[in-house]
Amino acid sequence: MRNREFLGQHELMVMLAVLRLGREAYGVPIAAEIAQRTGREMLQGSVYAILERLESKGFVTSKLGEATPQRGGRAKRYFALTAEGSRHVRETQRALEALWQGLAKTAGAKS
Amino acid sequence: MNSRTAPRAATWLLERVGGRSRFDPLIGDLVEQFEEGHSRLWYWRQAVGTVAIDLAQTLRSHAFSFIAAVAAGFALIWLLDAGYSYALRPLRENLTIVSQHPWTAQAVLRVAGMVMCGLLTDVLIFVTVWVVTRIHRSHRRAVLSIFAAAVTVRYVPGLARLLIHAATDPRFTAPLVSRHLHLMMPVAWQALCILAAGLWVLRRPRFTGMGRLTYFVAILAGSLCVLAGLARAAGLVGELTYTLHEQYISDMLNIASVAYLVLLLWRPNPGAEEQVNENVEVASVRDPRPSVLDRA
Repeated sequence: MRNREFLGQHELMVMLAVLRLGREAYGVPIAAEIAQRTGREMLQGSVYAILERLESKGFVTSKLGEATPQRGGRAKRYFALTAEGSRHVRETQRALEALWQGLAKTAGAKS
Repeated sequence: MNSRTAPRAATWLLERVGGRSRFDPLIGDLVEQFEEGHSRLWYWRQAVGTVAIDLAQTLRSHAFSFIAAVAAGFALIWLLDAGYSYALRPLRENLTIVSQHPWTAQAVLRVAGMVMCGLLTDVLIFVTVWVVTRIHRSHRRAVLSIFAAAVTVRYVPGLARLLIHAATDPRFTAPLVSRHLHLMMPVAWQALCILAAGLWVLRRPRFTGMGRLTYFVAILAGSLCVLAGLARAAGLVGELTYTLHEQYISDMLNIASVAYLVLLLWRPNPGAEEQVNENVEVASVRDPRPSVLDRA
């Protein structure tokens, strides 16, 4: 059997946020998207640490964008999923769905 | 337009830890959110959290070489301490005799000997730091910080015991606490020496880029350190007698001087990318011929 590396919870959340945001995926909206959808506030540094790790694995790519005065003259770093990254997201989704099958109805039920 | 300024110290911290090129987009994100109304406390929380995450990640991914570097550093510090006490013992044994006649040739020689011992210690600290930073070259600053912290941490239990003793024992008077805390000064001194030496090792080419005023103030700070050391040595042989209060002022001045030198040397690394670009530019200026890739 081929060794598969599944994504961690935070990695998956960040990758899904990148996927949802499309071309507008840089640090601020990624953290905001996660906070809005999951109710979890993540440190900006934590988001970047995860993205750097994903980039080193080849799951995301990044490129520098425009620098604006509102950002103190600093450029934005835009992120996008690679084909490998998208494949891993789908694999993780399939694995989680397979594990949830049959549990959905009983998960919240009291014994 | 009413724009606020993000906390400079927090930005400075991020730039030093991550390097300008690496953390620049992250700092931009924080500035953008700060401009949108987040508080200064929020900015600081983000900065400190980011530094902690970065350090933890570096430690996790390079744990073995970090342990090796700190262990090697401790072994060298232990040798240094043993050698230092062995060399100073004969000098200290006769200090009481010398203090009665401070300006004899014998006394001057002893003071010179002690100063030489001090200088030798500084040189050995440089060597120790050099060895430690050579073990893990890709994260030298992180290794250096961990080593300095480890050297300081070994005194924390003693200090905690002292404070507990002071709080619980009514006979343990305030001047005694003050005197014991004074003994802890060398601890801060050693950590600062390690940091200063390490940063000097890492940043040596930067000396050439100093302005005249900066260079002058740096020499002044260095001279203050040497003077404070000489004053302490003279105090040991009895020529200078000063109160505990004056000793504190002297030591604080000494530490402030070293801290200044540390701040001066702790400048961000120019990004590797920029260096590569510079090299490419230089190469293209020097060699106008098309490269192999261009020809292909």
